[in-house]
Amino acid sequence: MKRIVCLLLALLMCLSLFAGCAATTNNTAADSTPSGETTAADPNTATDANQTTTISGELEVAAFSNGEANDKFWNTVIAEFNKLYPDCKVNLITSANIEESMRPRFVSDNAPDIYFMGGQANADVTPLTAEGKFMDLTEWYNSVEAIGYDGLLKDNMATEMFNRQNDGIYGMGFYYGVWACLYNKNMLDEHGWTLPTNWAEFEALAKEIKETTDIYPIIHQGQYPDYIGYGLMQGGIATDGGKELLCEEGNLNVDAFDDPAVVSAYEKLAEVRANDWSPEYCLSMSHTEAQMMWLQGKALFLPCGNWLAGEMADSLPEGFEIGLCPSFWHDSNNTPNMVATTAFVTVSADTKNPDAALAFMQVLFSKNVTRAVAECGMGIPCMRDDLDGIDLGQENTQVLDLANSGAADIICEIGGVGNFEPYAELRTAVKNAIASILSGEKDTDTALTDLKSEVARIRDDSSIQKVTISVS
Amino acid sequence: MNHQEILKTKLSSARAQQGRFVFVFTVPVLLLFTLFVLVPTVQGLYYSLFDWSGLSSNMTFVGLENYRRMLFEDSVVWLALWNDVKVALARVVFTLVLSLALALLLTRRRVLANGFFRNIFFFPVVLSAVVICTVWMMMYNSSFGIINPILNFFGISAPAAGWLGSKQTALMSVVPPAVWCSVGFYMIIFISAIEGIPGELYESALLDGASTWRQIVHIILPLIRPQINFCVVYTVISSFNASYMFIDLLTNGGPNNASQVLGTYMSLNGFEYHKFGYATAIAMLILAATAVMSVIMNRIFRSEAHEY
Repeated sequence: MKRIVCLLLALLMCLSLFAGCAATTNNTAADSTPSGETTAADPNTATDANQTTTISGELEVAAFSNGEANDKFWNTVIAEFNKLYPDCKVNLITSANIEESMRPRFVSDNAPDIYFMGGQANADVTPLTAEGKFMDLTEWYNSVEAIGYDGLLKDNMATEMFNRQNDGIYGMGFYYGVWACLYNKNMLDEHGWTLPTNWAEFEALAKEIKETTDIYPIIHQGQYPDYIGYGLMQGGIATDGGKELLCEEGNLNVDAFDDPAVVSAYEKLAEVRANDWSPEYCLSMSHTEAQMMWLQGKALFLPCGNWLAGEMADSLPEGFEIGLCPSFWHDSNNTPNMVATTAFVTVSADTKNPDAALAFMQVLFSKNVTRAVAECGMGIPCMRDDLDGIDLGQENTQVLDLANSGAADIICEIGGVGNFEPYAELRTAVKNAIASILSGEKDTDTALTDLKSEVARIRDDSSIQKVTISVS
Repeated sequence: MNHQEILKTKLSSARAQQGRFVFVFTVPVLLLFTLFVLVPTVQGLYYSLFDWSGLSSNMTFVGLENYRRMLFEDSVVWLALWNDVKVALARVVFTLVLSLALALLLTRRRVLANGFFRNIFFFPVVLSAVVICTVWMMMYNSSFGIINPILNFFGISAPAAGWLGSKQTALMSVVPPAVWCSVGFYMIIFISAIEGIPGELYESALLDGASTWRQIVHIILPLIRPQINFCVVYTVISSFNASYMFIDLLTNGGPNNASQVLGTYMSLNGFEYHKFGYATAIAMLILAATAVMSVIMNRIFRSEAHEY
């Protein structure tokens, strides 16, 4: 008896090794219950879809999702799709770490039909495109009609956020965010300060803040220097040196890092450190810690993006107002720039149901879904829409106000993954340069010299697949 | 059948039964070991000979190019290896001393609520790395963390960039949470070993006038030498394999590679740079380094078996 019990326990122990399975959510169209309030437009307008083939069979959609709002959005899209194509069953897989489960599938040539590459999956866009894993959507995009709009889809696209490589379109963003500088609006109003529009004005404001309060002018996400890089420095470089200068950097042109606009951007980091305009201890902070400190009123400015309110929704203090302004990291009085960012939706090059996949893409850019993008807080929709009656959120509204009034230009990278740094090695090199200046480990000249060496090394590394980025 | 033949039959039947019993318990484990350890190791060795993005089936054979680059061109690899060695040594020393001290306190001293303290000290072992790192990150926080006020009381001030943001302290700041979460495990092992020592040995030592300290040094430590050896070797192995989690969650390898270890650098190359072939070459280096360190530690702490 004892032996049998021991045997069973041993067997149980062995079986328990298989217990660790990836946490992904699998839904089918039958499970998705669309929320009635998300589709404000008349669903009957969706019936004039430009399709001549019967859409049926199955379609697999894998999507990054980091919360209930995202899941709700994708269920809405599926509901809209099934109104038009009730014979096509959609299998939805969502996960906050979708790339972990999708990578092996690409290796085994079993990719999902549609793949929304948000979060960490964004880093896989360029190599997967280079491997020929995605369908070229150029011809489709140039001819497909928009659902819920007059005319073609491309004529109703307000902001093109595309993964363009080798003259093809291999991914499309249906919403975008912008890197910018957030500020504590309550703090600004309480002290009667004025928002700076260039570096000289920021210097004056920073000095006043340090002399009259114990608040810091800036706090940043020390462990992730990308934030200060994208939210402040890139905007400044583009404003002073032209947006093409960002492309030169991203295309590994070493001489671009000698441009006065670039050098000046890095020198400003040294000035921040020398004048103690940012607490030195934030070098040890994760993005969550730094953002929490900012919400607690330790500093006026925080480089981030228009997604912060959604990301920190549970931590926002009562009555806290988030202000958003373009970067002031420039010396000139040119119109400031904000760098746009997105997550691409792609169609597998080996999709088993290409007609359904393209029909799904068409629905994704329909009027009803565009409104769902706004309602679910995904970001600023790329498709044209007046979005009447929809609360975009204070940050998104401020971005659109700035862009529509001409107070800021939104610049979009073409050909990479956004942020004008198409290579992970380049992102690491820039992050290290920023961190070394802010920590005082290196002066600007040394940091830039080391950065240029690294850029040259990346350029000469034949194992890194090269792309050419440009700007809209 | 005579008596001897019956005995022989029974003996061989018993041996066969025992053999079946051993087979049933060892073969599944061996199968699982082969499937989840040996096969992936051999596969890793195979992939390290290729230039492979890890995102498709396109692989280009490059032979030992990944190893050549790793050993002769990539300075971060050597920095990461040295960081791994430092962390492993620090973890061995602190884990050994603390777990042994706690085990001795809870066995050789009359402590009220002994069982309660054993549970308390063991509790961090069952926590996940994410929970541990989140808690310690808050404790290290320069603004509201508890570590700085305590250290200030003793006249020790934190670096201006914070413990996790300073190049000089970022790496070693990972050691306290790593030690904290493993001390309980080895404490239990040492308690079990110490409680197995017969009481007569202490009595006779006491009769000979041996103090508590001499009993510890001359009776307990020699008799639990195998457990100490296990603690050292296993800490080294887990340090090389699992320091990655603490570094990734606490410092992200920064600032500027100051706290980079082989595990995080391997992950960076595999999942961000999409150089899976190169990343598996680094994994092979981790395997080799772990084996070498384990052998060294084994030889240092090896001794003949003491029996009582």
